[in-house]
Amino acid sequence: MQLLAPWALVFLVLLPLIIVFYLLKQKKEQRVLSSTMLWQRVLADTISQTPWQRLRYNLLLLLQLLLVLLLVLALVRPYLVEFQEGGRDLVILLDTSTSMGTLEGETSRLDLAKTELANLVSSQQKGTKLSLIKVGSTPEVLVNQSENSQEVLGKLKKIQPGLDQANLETALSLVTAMVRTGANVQVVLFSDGGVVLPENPVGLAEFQYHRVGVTEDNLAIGAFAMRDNEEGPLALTRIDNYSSKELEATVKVENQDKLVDVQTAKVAGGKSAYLFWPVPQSSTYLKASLEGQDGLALDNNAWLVPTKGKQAKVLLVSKGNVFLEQLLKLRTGLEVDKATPEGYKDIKENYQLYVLDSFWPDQAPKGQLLLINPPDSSGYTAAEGELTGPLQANKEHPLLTNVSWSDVHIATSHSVKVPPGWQSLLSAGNKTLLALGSQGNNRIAVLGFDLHQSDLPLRPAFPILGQNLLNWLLPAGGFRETQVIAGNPVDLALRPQAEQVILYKPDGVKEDLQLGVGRFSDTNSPGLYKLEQVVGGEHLVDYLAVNYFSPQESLIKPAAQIKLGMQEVKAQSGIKVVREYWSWLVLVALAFLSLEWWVYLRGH
Amino acid sequence: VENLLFEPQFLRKLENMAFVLKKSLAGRYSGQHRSTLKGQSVEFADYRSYVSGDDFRQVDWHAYARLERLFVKLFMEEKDLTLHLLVDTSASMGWQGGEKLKLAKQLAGALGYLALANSEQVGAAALGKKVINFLPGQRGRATVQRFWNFLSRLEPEGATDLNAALRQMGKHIKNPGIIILLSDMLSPEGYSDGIKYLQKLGQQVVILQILAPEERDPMLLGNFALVDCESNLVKEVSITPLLLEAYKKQVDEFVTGVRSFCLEREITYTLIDPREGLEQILLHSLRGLGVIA
Repeated sequence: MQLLAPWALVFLVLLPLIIVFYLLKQKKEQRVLSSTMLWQRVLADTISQTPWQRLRYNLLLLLQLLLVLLLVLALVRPYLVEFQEGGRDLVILLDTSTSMGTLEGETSRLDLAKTELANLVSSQQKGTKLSLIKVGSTPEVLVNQSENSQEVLGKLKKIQPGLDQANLETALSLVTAMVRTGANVQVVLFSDGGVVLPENPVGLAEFQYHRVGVTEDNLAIGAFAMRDNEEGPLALTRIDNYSSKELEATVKVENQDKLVDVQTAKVAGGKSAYLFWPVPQSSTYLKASLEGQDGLALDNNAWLVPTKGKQAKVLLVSKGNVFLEQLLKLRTGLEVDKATPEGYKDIKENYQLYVLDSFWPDQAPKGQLLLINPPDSSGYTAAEGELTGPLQANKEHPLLTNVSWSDVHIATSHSVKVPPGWQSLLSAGNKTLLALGSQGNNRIAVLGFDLHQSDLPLRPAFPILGQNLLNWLLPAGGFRETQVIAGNPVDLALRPQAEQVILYKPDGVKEDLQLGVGRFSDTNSPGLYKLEQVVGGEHLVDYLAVNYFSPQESLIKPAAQIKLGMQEVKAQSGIKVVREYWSWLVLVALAFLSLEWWVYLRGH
Repeated sequence: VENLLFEPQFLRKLENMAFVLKKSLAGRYSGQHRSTLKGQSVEFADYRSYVSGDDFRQVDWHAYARLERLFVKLFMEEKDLTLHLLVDTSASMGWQGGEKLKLAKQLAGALGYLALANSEQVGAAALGKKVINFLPGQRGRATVQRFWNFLSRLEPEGATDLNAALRQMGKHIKNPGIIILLSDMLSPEGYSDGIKYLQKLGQQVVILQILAPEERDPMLLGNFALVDCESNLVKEVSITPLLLEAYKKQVDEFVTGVRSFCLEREITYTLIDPREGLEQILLHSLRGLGVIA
């Protein structure tokens, strides 16, 4: 039992005062009797005559003393605290992982923990050194050994739930490093138990785990991905049920904000259900959402960017060209198959890009084409022969930016035909050496000369030109990946020619990215990210799906105990901090007051 | 007749009562109080031989004629029984307007009147710490006024010591008789020794105890300084319902004590509540005295 206002104990002087008043009061009422003889006999029989002992039987006095005692007790504001000793170090660890955002009724677990924590902090005696550490994937010391509880409360207010998993191991090693040796340290963790636990024993004498929350019902979209199917691409959603009982999941899928379908599935406790959706043609992004409310809202939505999910498949047909192989290796996102001209006829698969080195099949392949030294039978070239003049490059063309032709020498080359609509990029005399164009939906780049007949592969121009050509042929997205887990960084593949790069976050915030930046890491809110690159007046738009897939955090059931090495720490749900009793005391005092009044009335 | 004790109406009733009463008080008790002294009277008692010096008028000459011896006739000597009315005039009797004393005086006045009307000898005394005032035996209707005047002059004063007062009273009493004590019996030093002494003197004692209702059932609760009106002693006491009960029990015990004392010693006893009318009480006390059945 502790007192919040011990100064009020001075009112205890009222007790002797009341007794004195009683003693004084008794001399005032005189009553003349015919004889006190009988009274004397009565008094001799019953009680002795000292005034102190006479007070014993005075019910009114007794009640008044009790009344004052109770009121004084109420004034000193007694309370009980489960753990509290003065002069200690109290280190408070607050789990800010995603699962702490679980709603317990109307309030989130984090807010519940904050309230309990605030009570704990306010109830600390003076001299207690308070530390507050936010436990996320990396611990963050918000207050370090401060005796000012207001500072702690101030910091506490600003804490927001994170999107990561709490790592208790790093937090505890930080605590061990922080505390003074020999200090009387008490470590209190406010968490739902969904934390990364240390495998080794922790050298902390007093560690308490205060469990926050009780909810365990939670459905989550655990995966949202593309699957190829005979009838076409399908989108797959996996619905995970993290509770122990069967729940019904209603899932809605939207294509570019238009409803595609709604499906329901019964998911047994602890199991998963799979739902498949047709992906409409030319879909740029899909959104799947779980209808209804459950513990954690964050894992109820997922996004998918369909086409960019796969790597571009490339077929290289060559008798052996190490330069081309190297070029294709340089570029990420390509799945390169190789074939010899003889083996080409056995290939059944379709590729997005065919790189044909000095080869032309009987039938033109369906896909983008990069033709190196094609035979004239292809119809793209004619009249091989030696070059007649110096190389002339179309330097204005974006594909030739930063490509230096000055040290490039070419021995012989075909003359590339330039049909209407095609562009000539490089020529020598009357011969076109490099031309770009398109036929139907396919883009075609034709290089008229054999790389072995030139020193181009040995020059810096070659990888730059190669990448530019590949970029043009396979317009890759600005993002290297199309789906990441929230909080993880994503690599960017910005066009070197991009004049402006704008990123739109799911909440609509627009951010101008620096040109040439290679990585974007602010993916903390799940949703659809839109990247817009302006290249030569053209707006290239790419989407990134940032999803919250975290089985550890979706499992919101609070842990009854956590294990620190070999040591098991049982949860204490709720802390009995500052349980004040003054209201009860006042109530009892009021009851005594009524009783006193009744006794008084009865006496008169 | 001038009096301060009675209302004229009551006086008339008293006269009637006196007329109705045939027997004398003394007559009622004469069997028990026959004098042991033999003397001149009409009632023959015995003979004895004449010795020189005897009054020769007492010689029975008829016996001398027959027997030629001198005998003296002995007669029962009849003496009047005196009624003594002892009124307690201590301060306690004057408590709360003196109702108790007034009643005692009225009772004494009425009883004395009846006795005088029956030609009895009536004496009176005021008792406090000792005998405060004394009226020797009176006889005849003519003395009624004197008797009443004596009573009406009595004022409440001083402490009570019945033992001492009764002993002193004994010195004034020469003949056997009846003593009626009108008192609240609240005598710290007690009353039994004095009464026993009076009985030893051959007195028939009658006790009329007067207790006010406030004394028997006080309305007191809380803290009081109780002042004894006689001794002025202050007793501080916190009166709780419990204590009050104990007091009432004490009063009952006290009254029972007096009553059983009287019973043991063949003393006629009546407890008088002043709330009853004087007439009623008088009838009661007369019945108690055995004057009327």
